[in-house]
Amino acid sequence: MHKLFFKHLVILLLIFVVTRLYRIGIQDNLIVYGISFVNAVVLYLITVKKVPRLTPFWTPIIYTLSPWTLYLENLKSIYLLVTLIFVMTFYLSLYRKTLIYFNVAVVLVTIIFFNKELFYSDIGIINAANVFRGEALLEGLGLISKLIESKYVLYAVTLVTKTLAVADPLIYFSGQAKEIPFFTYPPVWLGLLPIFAIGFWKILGKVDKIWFLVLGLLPGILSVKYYDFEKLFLFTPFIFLVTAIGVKNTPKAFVLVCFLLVCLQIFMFALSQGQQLWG
Amino acid sequence: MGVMKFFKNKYSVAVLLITVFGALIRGYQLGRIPTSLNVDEVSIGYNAYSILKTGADEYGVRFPLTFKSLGDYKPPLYIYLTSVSEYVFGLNEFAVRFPSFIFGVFLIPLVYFLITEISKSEKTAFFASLLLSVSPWGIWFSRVASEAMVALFLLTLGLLFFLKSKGKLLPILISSVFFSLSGYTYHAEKIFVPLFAVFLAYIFRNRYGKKEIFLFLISILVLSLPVYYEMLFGLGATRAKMTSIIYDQDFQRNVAVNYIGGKYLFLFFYWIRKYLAYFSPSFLFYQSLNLTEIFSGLGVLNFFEVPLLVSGVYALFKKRNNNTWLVIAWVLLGVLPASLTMNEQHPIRAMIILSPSVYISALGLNHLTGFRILRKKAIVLPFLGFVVWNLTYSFLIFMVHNDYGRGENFMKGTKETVQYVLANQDKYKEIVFDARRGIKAPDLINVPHLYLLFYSAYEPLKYQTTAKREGGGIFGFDKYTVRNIDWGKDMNKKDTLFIGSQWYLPAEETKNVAILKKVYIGHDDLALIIATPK
Repeated sequence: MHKLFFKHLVILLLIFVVTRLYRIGIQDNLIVYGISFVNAVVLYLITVKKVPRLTPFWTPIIYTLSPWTLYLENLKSIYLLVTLIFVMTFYLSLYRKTLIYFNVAVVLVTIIFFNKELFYSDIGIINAANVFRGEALLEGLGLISKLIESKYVLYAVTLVTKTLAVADPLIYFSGQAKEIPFFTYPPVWLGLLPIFAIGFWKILGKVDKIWFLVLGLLPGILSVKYYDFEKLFLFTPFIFLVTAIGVKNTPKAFVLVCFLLVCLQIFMFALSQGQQLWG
Repeated sequence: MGVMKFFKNKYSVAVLLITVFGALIRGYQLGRIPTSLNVDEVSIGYNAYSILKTGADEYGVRFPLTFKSLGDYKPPLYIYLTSVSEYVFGLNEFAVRFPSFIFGVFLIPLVYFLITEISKSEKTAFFASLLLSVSPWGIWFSRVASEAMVALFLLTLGLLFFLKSKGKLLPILISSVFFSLSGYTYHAEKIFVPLFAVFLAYIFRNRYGKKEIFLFLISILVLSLPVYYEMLFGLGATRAKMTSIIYDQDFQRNVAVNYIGGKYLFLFFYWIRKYLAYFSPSFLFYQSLNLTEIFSGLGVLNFFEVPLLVSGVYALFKKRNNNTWLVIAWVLLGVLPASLTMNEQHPIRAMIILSPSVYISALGLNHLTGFRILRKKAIVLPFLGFVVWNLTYSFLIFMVHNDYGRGENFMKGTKETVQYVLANQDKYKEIVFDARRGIKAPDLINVPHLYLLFYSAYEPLKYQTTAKREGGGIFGFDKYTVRNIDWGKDMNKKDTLFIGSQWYLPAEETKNVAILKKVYIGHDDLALIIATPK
């Protein structure tokens, strides 16, 4: 196992370095890349534990080659570190149950300390409530509007719509969000979507610790921005692990077709937008 | 005997009541809400009037298969149906929207019969018709002149006949007539129907006779030939090119920036993104109907359907039967035409999936009611409260906020302006309308001539023969001209009435200009000015 682990580690490191050659020489990036690489390693270890009999290599490779990871590295985002703490506490909780609370604590600390403004600071919601009330008053429906469209109700609606928005796999796999730079290329390669869907179907309705990783959505949901891809990065461990479960439960021929699609998209990405992210 | 049997079945009575309820919420102030006829509606209205009076469209083409209309090449059936409606109700807003309304209402019991046939469960079918009666998608597009609503009705009816036929030739042929007619009603069905018909033929090849299946496909092909000829070689071809995904602005922009990977390879990924967007929660639940200017508004389904739809998808896959693939194919093929066109998340082009989507939600509701814990008051009452909130919220958006937020998209203010002009037209030698309007920017194309024709019930034959289409954006008939106003030059034209937005006409009275009327819409926004040089 150890021999295999080190072999995988070396290959992973090589792939990691090769895909980041453009900027790896710049000194201040080394810490960022270091954190990101450790992230990949922890994901590898989680896969070993959670998805037995699967080459645990898939999860860190998907992570390493994801435009989303490259985007955050390019931003030198603090959320790479937060994600690292998040996945590390999750990994440790697989050995000691009580540590899962640390996992929850990481999310809460992220929400409290890194969200300068939460969704209710959005002045647009209060404006909408006032405008709706004014319009309804003019039509003699002020009372109904007061009950149905008060600012508290609209806060709740915002929370629900934001939850629906960020819980939508399509924004991660097909770039629905129109957020730069994820309009042309999705945060996670599209070819992985069917594999993710199969993995999700497999864990649906089952009690599994993996569901704790969905907590990673919370900072993104509570953010003012509709799609905050920095904060939503905490959700990537769930996406990558479920995809790994999908790989395990999908016929090999289908996995191959999906990965061919991924390769095609990576090829296009490398030719065009990769220049912008890596350069 | 049959009537007694009908009233003994609790579901039949309930569906009858739901249909009446659906008719009330779809028909209440039909001519006034939405606030005004939009450009498509007014075009349909006058072309239908022209057909009724002369047998030709506004351009003088006799009984066309494609109506040039505003240059958007409309399919024919809705306009012919509107002619009948206008014959009965006269030339007014109600008559233009009536075909949508009536087909939207009758879709409710039709869905009940279809779902009973598909699921073999009257309870699920009842839930489906109940959900359809309060569906924002169903309500909104029954209230505006919508070809897609009529097409969906015909499609659903065609499928019902096909399933009910049990392999008998006559109902199968009737089914093919309805399938084909849907292609004469809306563009999306022209692509969907042949694909869906082939799929039906494939999955029913062993259940129905080979001869019947063959005749089903052949009759659809033969009956639809004029439509496909028109689409490929006639005026419809222009429409197909106009709306193609290749001309999508976002796509063009991205190709310009990221052309390296190959245009068509990029198009493939771009198309998938567009296709999947129709399954996104933003389309389904909170954004796509675009009825409000601020806040998220309404999606094509109600908010409270989120758990129902999720549970329905689960139930659909878990409890697979012979018709499961039929529903899945209906959904997957149903959004295909919409995904091949420009515009993101287009609720009209994707309306084909309205019937299967209510079926999946109903399946979910049926599935959830099977859990004893979910039937407890502590769960049911809050959920019902949520449903009541949701429906009231939709009601306020339909009846109040849409008028304020999106009135301009419905050309609000044009009717008021046109009525003023018609009342005062004798005082002027020429009446000039600006071809552009817009409150925040002059970015809306104005078609005031159609509103003039519609509200004055202008003699179609006279219009067909005297309309002046000079090119260069200049257009007119009688004493009316539609062109860009250049006030620097036009201010010297006495005895001329000018109608335009504040971008091209002075908003305040000066020594050179008399402001006769200002038309405000929304939150006291100045939409149009009627002025004449002093």
